[in-house]
Amino acid sequence: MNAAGYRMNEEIIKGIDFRGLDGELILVGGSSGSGKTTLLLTVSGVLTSLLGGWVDGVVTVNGVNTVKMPENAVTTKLVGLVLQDPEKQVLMPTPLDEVLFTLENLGYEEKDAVKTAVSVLGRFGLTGKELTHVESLSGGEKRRLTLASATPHNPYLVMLDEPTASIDPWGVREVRRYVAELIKEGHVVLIVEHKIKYFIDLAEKFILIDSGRKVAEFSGDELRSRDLLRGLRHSGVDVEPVHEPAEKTYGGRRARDGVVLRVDSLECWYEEGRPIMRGISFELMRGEILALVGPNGSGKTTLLKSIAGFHKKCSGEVRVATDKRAFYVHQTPDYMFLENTLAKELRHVALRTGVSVEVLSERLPFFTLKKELPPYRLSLGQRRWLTLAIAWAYSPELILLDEPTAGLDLHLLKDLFSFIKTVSERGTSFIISTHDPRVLSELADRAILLEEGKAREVDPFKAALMLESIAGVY
Amino acid sequence: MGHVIKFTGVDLALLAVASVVSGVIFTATWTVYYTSEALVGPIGARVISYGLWFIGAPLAASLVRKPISALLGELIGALVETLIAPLGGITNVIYGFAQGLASELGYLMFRYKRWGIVQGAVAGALAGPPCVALDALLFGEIGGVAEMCLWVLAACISGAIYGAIASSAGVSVRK
Amino acid sequence: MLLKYRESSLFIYALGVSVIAFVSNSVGALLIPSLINGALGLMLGSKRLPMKLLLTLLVFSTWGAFLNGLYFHNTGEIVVSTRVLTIRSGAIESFLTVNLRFFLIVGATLTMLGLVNIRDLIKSLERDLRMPSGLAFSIAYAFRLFPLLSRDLSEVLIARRERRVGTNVINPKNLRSVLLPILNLSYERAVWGGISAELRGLSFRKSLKGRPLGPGDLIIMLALTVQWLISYLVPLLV
Repeated sequence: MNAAGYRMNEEIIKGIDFRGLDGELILVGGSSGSGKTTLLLTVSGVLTSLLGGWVDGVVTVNGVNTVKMPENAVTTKLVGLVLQDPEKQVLMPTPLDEVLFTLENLGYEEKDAVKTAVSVLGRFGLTGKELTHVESLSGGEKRRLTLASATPHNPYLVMLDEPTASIDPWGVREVRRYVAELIKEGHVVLIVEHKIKYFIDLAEKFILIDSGRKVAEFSGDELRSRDLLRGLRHSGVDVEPVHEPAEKTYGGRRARDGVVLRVDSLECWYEEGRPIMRGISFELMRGEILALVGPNGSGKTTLLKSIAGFHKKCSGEVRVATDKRAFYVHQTPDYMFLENTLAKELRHVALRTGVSVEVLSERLPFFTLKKELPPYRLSLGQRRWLTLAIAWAYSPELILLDEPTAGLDLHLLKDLFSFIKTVSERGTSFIISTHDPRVLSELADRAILLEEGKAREVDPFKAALMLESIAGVY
Repeated sequence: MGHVIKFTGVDLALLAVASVVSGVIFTATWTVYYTSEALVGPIGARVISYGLWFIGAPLAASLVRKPISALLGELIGALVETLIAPLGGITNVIYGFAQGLASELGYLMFRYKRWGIVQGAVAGALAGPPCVALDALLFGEIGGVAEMCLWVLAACISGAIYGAIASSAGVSVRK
Repeated sequence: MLLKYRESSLFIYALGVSVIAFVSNSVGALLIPSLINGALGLMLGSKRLPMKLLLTLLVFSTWGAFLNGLYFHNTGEIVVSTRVLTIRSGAIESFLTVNLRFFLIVGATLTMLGLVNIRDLIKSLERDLRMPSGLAFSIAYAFRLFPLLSRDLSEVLIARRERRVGTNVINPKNLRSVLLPILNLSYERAVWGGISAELRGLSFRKSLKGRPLGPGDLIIMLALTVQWLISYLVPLLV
């Protein structure tokens, strides 16, 4: 393919070529904005058939040119595409309907469709949940449902867009198992990821793209070399599992004086008599960064919300040192915005907090360029950055971050880390709930593992290794 | 119109968004209506609340921007309201159809070329008369000529205000 | 239940019965259908629906109907007369009809919702009533979104409390800034959801095969017809 884009004169992709064989995993890596998703949309034919985009070049899947399909034809039978965020592609109220939707669209008779759907759901461990509402599924179950519903008809080519972006390491392990099965069954699998570390051992080919251009291609054998991977560290792609302590030179420099938060025998529940956690006790010092780890559903968010005072169904003691409360920041930054341009948003913050717009905008390197844009139009990294700046302006003693690194590539991750470090050096403490080993190995001073309703203090670096080994890559 | 209007998957999904947001607001509006009627009487209550019941059309139209999207947004919104909280009963669907059709006229007047805030306000205002007419049938709320005129006017003003709000939100969301 | 029926028949029934409420304007015409549907609705719907809310609403609407009757239709013979107010027969009649209509409509709706779940109803509308499959998709997707949106709303309200701004959603001053993040998120979801739907062959979709009418459907339609007849005939007889 030579070039492709959504609008004329706007090239997102500028020259990418590769070929895949039966039973091969092709891995495409690149930082945010490198054109990874556009590549998948192009290959699937959706870019040209649905989104009104254009493509110069040829994509051939099993003999069919997918970018020049006859009008209104989509490549459904040939290609299964699993999109990045499960929240954005689950379409039906129940798992059964979700799989039936694909099958019925493809013309399956009702009886066959139901039979196939039930067996596909069984294969993805969703037996017994066929008719529960999808919103009561866990993050990992939703991910599996998206895999099931994109491929119940066994398409030849299966493509996955950042399949590990929004799940815990337990979920990563399941996705890896699924990919391995697809390869064994002889499918061609195409994965775009910036955390390619999770698939590198399964891949036959790795293509590195940057600004829509292929910059390098490596064979499976080359990928097994650690030196090569080390050389790719600065490409914005997460190529290696955490396996050595990072140069965490900085933790010692801060003054950690005084207790900011004391949690004493906290118990939380949603239904009376069925606590989801109990006996949670810990203290946090001024300027400390504490990571909170544990599988999805272990109560990390509930704990953060209890500390912030938004989850009321709890007993025990939570005491924040001064009258300035803890400030809770959700992983979806959009919830926090009130105004329709970045400049107005900052003016609003200034009015409430007394921190001037000048001081605030100094904190945002992208301010001058983007000040007239709606905050919703900023990149994910910038939006997270903005929510942090807003939280900081309210000058709380303690900022609670819920999964702040989900969906960020390595560059954005480093930016976020440096921002958090700067703020914590001035005495603000952080509690960060996370599945990301890098938060543990590069940022956190301490870590608490939340599991089966109990909390226990663990060494952050060991916790990072544990997460990588659960995902199956260490 | 000689040609068939084709809704893509994205259009249909946007329609669903508009419907479910309006369905939820429709449900909440019952409280607003009863509270405001107790506080400021029938005319004030209509100004404060009625427009909220009309926002399905401007919201859907400003997001989807295709013919009949206004009608469908209001109609499916009403259906969603009936199914999640049957406070107004299934007659909601009848109201939704009538109001949606009236709002659709608003967009037709602009030949389906403009989907902005002015059009949203017009669409909202147009939903007022059929709504007051149905009220008269169903709840026997028939007053004198002057009174009825005032009510229609109140419903139209309310529709215009909330129509403008809803479509301005829709416009800013869709780049 | 051994009688097979299409869920869509109940939808037609509920709509059809509600039409009586619009068309009829006398106590006689409304009384029997209202009692039937009110009783059925209470029996069948009480398990699935927030009855407290409905009862509160009932109180409100009764009071509203009373005021309405007093205000607009206080004509005819004097029934009650005190120093404060005089109630005439017109007011009573209007009060009764409005309440009967309410019973009728909510009762019929509750009957429908008590007997079908929303999922089957949408499917049945698509296959038996030939609702366009695009619309069926849209309605089903709306119900998939519903809990997601209520979660969005509660998160937005948390963020607003953090930022010390008002959380009264109904206040027009707040409505826009509450709607904006929810709509922005939903817009993004809808765009990807739409893409996902197309990828999974939405435009290939043909209507599903309809099912034959069963004895249950006939009974439902019969019940509807009988009530229409009653509401037409009773006023002529009385």
